[in-house]
Amino acid sequence: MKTTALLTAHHQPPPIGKPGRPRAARRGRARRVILWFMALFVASQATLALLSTVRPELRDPQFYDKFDALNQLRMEKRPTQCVVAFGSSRTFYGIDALRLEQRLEFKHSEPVLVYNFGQFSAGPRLNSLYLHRLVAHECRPDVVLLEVLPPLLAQKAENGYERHFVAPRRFLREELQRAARYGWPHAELETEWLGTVLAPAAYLRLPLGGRFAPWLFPPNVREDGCRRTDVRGSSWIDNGRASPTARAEGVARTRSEYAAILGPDFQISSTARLALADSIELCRREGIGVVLYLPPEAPSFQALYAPEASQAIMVFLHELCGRNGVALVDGRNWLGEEEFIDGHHPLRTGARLASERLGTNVSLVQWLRRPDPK
Amino acid sequence: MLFCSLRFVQFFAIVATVYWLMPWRHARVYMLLGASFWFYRELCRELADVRLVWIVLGTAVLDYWLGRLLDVWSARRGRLAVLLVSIAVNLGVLGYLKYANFFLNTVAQSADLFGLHIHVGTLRILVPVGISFYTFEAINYTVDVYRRRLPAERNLANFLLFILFFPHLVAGPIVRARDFLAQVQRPKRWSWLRCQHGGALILRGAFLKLVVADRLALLVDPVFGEPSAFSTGATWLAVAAYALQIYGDFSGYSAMALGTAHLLGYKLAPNFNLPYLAVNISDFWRRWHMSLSRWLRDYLFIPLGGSTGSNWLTARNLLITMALGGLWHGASWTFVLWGVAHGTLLIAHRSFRSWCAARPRVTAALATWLGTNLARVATCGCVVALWIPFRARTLTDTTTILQRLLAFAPGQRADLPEVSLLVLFAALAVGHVVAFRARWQRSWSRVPAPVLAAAFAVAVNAVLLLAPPAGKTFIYFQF
Repeated sequence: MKTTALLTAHHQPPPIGKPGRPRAARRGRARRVILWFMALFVASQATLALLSTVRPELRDPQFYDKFDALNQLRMEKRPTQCVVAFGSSRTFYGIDALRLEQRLEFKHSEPVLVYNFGQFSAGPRLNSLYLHRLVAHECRPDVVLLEVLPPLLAQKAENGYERHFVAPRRFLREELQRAARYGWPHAELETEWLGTVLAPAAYLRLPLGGRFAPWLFPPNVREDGCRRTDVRGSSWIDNGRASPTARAEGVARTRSEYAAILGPDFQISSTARLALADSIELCRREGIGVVLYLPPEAPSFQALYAPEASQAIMVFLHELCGRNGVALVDGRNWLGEEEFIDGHHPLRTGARLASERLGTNVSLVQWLRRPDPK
Repeated sequence: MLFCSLRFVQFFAIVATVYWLMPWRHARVYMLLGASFWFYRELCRELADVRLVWIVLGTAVLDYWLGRLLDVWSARRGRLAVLLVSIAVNLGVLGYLKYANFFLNTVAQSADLFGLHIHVGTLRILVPVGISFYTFEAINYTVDVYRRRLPAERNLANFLLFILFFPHLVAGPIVRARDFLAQVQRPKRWSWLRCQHGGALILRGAFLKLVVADRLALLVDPVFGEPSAFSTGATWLAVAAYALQIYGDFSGYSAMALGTAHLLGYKLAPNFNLPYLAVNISDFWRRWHMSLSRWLRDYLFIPLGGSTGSNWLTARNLLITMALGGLWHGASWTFVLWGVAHGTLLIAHRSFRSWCAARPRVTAALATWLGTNLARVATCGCVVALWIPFRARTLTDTTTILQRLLAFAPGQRADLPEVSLLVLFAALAVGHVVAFRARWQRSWSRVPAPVLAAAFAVAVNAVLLLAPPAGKTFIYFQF
């Protein structure tokens, strides 16, 4: 077929109704279709935007799935003390909240609830934002176990990790100012927030998809990971996954991610410093006990720290804890290399051991025994 | 700035609004030209180096003046010399920028075979995006002017718009100068019909690209990246998925290019026509990347002699055309292997057709419903199998994948929920059946406007919801 004929043949609009219908009628129909489409599309986005405002779990399912579970547990168990652990995937996989709870109840002799609020890619910034949000939602734990992930304190990590892996659309409108103070670019925060209002089908597609049709999405982007935990919000890495090859690959991956950050030029980031201080100040103001926790690290991971980096981190933490009267639990040497899958994420047995040990920690138990400051 | 990015949507919204508000035809041409130049500059900045935009501009201006020279010069030898200069410059730039390192590596590897170790190094060359496409368009212009099928374009802006027009600039379709330049000069008026048709094309393209191709890439990339790590089942899935991925990616991009051009009042030639429903390999090449196959036929196969000579000459011409067609896709022996394999299939099909011509019963059997569909399945199977060397990184990977397809091998499973894949395959199959039957066009015209609009709104939301997290570059951008 000649090219010109091909052009016209394939680009004639399809005939409407009977042959010979006036072109004006077809034009009129096309205009109606387009105008109706624009109206319906705008209406659909407005509906989704309203829905995400009324049901914020559609914006940030990773927070609200755990928040709902925590509230439910508090209503059912009515504990005298509630301990919530905030942290990254090290906390998510590394604290067996049920085992810690059993240990603390044994020491405390009263009902204690321990909940694992660990989130992937969380660092001091996201921990602070989530802690503030939890309190704003009238959910005040008695003790907060706050993970300190040393690499995420680094100046070099300021533009990576949390900023890279935590989508700004997870933040509520009232949190944008705080997020900007913690280093997220203001323009990016506003653009994302505006996107969730004007085009929620695009900006909220992962939480929406993960909630209503998870089978359509690969597991690593579904944002429903916080629904696939045990009753205390913990998850685990099966020991069976730690083959020598898997462990070697994991350690190599960890080295490539963190070695450059933990060099001799390590400096504490101002935003990480601010976020930690905010978390501690909030707890003090609300009468919440706070214990800083350095989670276990394998010898291979500890070897990544330059001496200057180790010193800078410990000086900072001791100053912070001393100034605020906060206890620091240093669990870095609690587990051997064989208890990790990649040098810093514990396997199931490692998580149990660390949680048992945490449950006997004097600082944590002391907070449970203190008089109610309220 | 991909077609599926927010940045492009913002860019196009501004361009289209200003374009249709302008009452002057010539001003619109300059405005489109400026927008196209800006688009390509931003794309070069994102993908490579912003200075590459001057290469395409420089060669386009040269071709414009060579075309003017061809028009005024009547001496046959002189005109031929001018044509050869144009072809040499265009192919020379393409050859150097895209194939220099390939050539050097081939020389080094060939020398290794003879025990000579030559260190050739690697030239640091940045390849302009879309160079393969606009080079072929420039060549078709100068050849058509030489053959006096087309007068040389006198307006430089019109000619530059033909080369730089942003909907087709970076990944086709390969536009014929005589079709496009005629449209530049035609006055254009806003049309709701064209808007609806263009919008529908863009929506179809976005669905194929974002929902089909990008999603399947999540399965395909890991398997082709490390074929020895995956099981036989995962490998079979990945091979089938890639056939759909490349179709979704390329036909999706082409549909978006056509729709975008349509919204600006330009009609580009369609590039795909349900290629996986082809009944033989010749039919496949009349349905897949139609603009390239027509270009190869008109500017390479026919000048070589086409099918007018003996069977051996025809076979030679087919092999050369398809081998070069394969090489056009990429600087790698896997692409050449792919092209030669298709050439071989075309030769085999010609022989088979001649054999059938002498056997009416066989011809009749092939024309039945069962025969036609068996032929479709066989053609589809051959095409899908030949996508393996096209996608594989090396010939070694090609061999590994073939081994895993033909013999059971343990390994990792596919990294995408199987339900998701089944839904995608089913959606594509239904789409093909609906498109194949012309009835759907008549049904489309009887649906009330609000219902049709609601269907469009649902489709747009589905595309937005189902697009995978991070946008992937179009496969054919690498060309």
